[in-house]
Amino acid sequence: MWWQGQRTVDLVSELLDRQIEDDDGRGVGKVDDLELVRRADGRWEVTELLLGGRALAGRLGGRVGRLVGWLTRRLHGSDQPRGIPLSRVTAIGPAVRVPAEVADAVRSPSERWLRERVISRVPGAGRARE
Amino acid sequence: MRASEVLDRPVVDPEGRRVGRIVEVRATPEQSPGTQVIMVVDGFVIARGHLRLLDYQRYHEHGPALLRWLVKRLHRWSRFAPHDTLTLPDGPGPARLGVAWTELPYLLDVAWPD
Repeated sequence: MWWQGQRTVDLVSELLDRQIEDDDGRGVGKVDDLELVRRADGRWEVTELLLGGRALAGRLGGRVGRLVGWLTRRLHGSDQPRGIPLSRVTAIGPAVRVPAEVADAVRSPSERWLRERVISRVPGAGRARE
Repeated sequence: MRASEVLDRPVVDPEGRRVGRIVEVRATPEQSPGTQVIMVVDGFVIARGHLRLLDYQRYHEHGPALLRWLVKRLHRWSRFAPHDTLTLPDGPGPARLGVAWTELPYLLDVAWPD
């Protein structure tokens, strides 16, 4: 884990496409893009990890990107990527770790629907995390 | 601006000649007393063509001899542009170097991530 380790990072090689997990190791998604903001002193700062089809569509570009964007709008009804402020990231190693409340807030709507409507009704699903 | 908008963006020198593309963004976590850790961009790796680093750059000093040779061979012309030498426009268009291409250090000569 290097997040608090103060070392140099190659953002594209080391952060993009990395799995995002909550404290319990449950997957939330992948880092599909990064939001960079130019500070007053002219330097760029990474402010958010972006995930979801809209972020991926922008990164892919071209026809494939447009197709992914269209599918995302049809499935999720949202035109904005989901973002995790970098300040909420607790560790970056083999996966990016975020607190459970952050993970719940950015979890894919389709996954949330599946969890609430289908998985939770499977007998024994309530004991899954015991 | 998104990282995807920075990546693969063409780079031109002060005279407007195309010198390569941005293939990597290098950053360092920083923490001021009493504040959260932030990640600030140190600079950009510029390569000819579309050659990405794909994390194999870590093998340029350690690792199998064949991989070391390959990494050095592929990136022998790549250079590192510190953040204050490259201007990224807000919209589309090439990034512009404020210094001559030859003044930038070779990528293989600058410090690498651990």
